[in-house]
This record gives sequence, C-alpha cells and structure tokens, in this order.
Amino acid sequence: MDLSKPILSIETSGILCGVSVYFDDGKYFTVNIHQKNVHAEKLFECIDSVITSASISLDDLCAIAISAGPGSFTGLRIGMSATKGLAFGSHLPIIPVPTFDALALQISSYLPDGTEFFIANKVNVEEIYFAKFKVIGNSYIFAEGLKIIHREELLSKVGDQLTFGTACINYDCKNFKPNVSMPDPFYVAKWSKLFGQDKVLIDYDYLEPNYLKNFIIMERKNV
Amino acid sequence: MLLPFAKIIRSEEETIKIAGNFARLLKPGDVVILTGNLGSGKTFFVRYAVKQFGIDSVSSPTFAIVNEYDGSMKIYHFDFYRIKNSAELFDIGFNDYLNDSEAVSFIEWGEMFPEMLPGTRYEVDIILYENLSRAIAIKKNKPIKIAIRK
Repeated sequence: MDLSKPILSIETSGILCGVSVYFDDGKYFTVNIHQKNVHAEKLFECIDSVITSASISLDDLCAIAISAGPGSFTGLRIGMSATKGLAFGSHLPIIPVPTFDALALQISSYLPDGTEFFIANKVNVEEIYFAKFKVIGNSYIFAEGLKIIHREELLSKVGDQLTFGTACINYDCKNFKPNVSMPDPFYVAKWSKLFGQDKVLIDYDYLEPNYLKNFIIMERKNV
Repeated sequence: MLLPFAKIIRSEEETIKIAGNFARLLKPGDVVILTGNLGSGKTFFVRYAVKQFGIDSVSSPTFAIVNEYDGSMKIYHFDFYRIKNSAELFDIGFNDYLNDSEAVSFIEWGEMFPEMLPGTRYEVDIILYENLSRAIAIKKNKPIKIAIRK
C-alpha cells in the first residue's frame, strides 16, 4: 500500500454521516452531516463531494478506512456495505478502524497529557459500550479495555470523571459530554495511517462491523 | 393518572380519555408495550395517545412494521405481529430506534419478543370481552436492580 497516496475514510457509527479524503494533517477534505437516519441517503453524495473537491478519483486512493464499530447497528452496516462496494469496484484495500480508538485519538489531541477519560455509548436501552483511556502525548492508551456494561453500572464506574458518549445523555453532570460520541472521519483516516498498517485487508469478504456482541436470533413467542 | 391503573370501559370516549391521560405521563425515551388480542383496540389507543403530541394521522403499522410521526414529540409506532424472529427487528434497526432518547416508542404485540424490550417500560394491556366492553390495565415495569460488579 502506497501511503503517500490519500486515503478515503467513512464514519457512520452514530448520528454523524462523515467522509474525509486525507492526504496529511495539513491537507484533507471532509464532509459531515449531523442528522439522524440519513446515512443511506446521503453517504454517496458525501463521498462524491469530497472526491470531487479533492480533484482526485477513487483510483488515486491507497485504501478506504471504515469506522468499524462498535456503534449503531444500522449505521455500521450502511458504512461497511458502501465501503465494500467501492473497494471492490476500485480494487482498493480496506482498513477497518476501531471506532473507540479513533474517537480516543481525537479526544486525546485536545486533552492534557495524563488525563484519564471514559467513552460510553449506548448499545441499546439497557447496555453500554464502555472503555477507559489515558492521554499519552497526543495519543492514548487503554486504561480499561472495551466491553459492554449494564447502564446501572455506569455511574459507579465513572463517578463524575470526564466521560464522552451517548450514554451520558440522561445525566446532569458537567463532566459528561454526550455530544462527543463518534469520531470525525479525519481521525478515522489519521488512525488508519498511524496504526492501521497491520489491519489492511485485500480480502474482505468476511469483514463485518464489530458489535462486540452476538445478536442472538430468537423465534417469536406465541401469545 | 396514577399507576398501576385498571378500569372496565364501555365506550370509545372512555378509551380516548384514558389514552390522553396516559400520554401526559410520557417523556422522551419512554417505551410503551401494548398487548391484547386482534381487534382489542391497541392501535386505537395509540392513535388517541399521540394526539396529545399533535399527531392526527396514525395508521396501523402491521404491514410497515414501524411508522414514524413528528409532532411535539417524535413517535415510533411498531407492530411485532408479522415478525417471525428477532433478526427481522435487528434488520430494521430496532435498537437504534429505541436508542433515540428524543422519541417515545409504542410497540404493539411487544410480548412476542420480550428479550428485545427494555426492562423499564410501560405496559398497556387491553382485554376485549364478548359484550364488547374492555378492560384496560396500565403499569410501569422497572428492572430488578442488578448487583454492581467490582
């Protein structure tokens, strides 16, 4: 993979429908739409817009980086299927980027060294995707690995510490930031350039979003 | 309206009044399950509950699975009657709908997939009797508090 070429990144793991063409930190093109339930309708418009603005074609890219989850069930499937289609048609590799890592990288670039913070995004009404990070330089390390917790556990785990994500929305705490819950596509691309070398996939037939859980199929109960 | 609530009713007007009073309890993010046999009046109840939010055009979601309405409150109106297994609910993004903390979700026949429902929810049970009177029972379920793992 020729890393001197730009990378296309796609973020659809939450309410944000975002696309970036990333050359380097000094040159990139991003389109973000912040609206519920428009990803399927708007994603290709966004891609077309950044590709056109950057005056390139898909053939000029080195790869497509996709925010691979965990996150919205439907959003991730829209982003993943669009990515696979574009990559297959343009003979490009895919770099699946862990969504929480990309968001942690983004948050870490704004916080002082050594700061600890949590990311807590809703899985469903009862469960939360949860991880703890620590800022190291302009990057991050996991202080507590990504897992699913029950919503009743959240406050006992984070107290009033700095916490980002959609699970914060029901709490009135100044250190809770529900509006920062998914990475900007710029950071999806940046993460893929920094850390994605060993994640490059040429054969992505079996690549799926990471939901961190199995969705168990249940037959309906007769009532 | 105080919960739990139960009443025998003999007219549409009584149902309309109960639905309206119940709707005043609802907040964004709430989930309401409606149970009752075919023709018991689940959709009728929803139609007059969401009138409280300025929505006048509610139709049955039996074939669409989910209808969305925008009023003073965003409403998602589901019907599980035609759903065969929970994969169909995952496919329509059911969890994403319920994660919308700005909306109220009404779910007819929700008891068919209890594992898909949040522990905290309102349950409206409508029983249709042979003399066409009905019993409406409404309660709020709260999950059992789980032990916190250290």
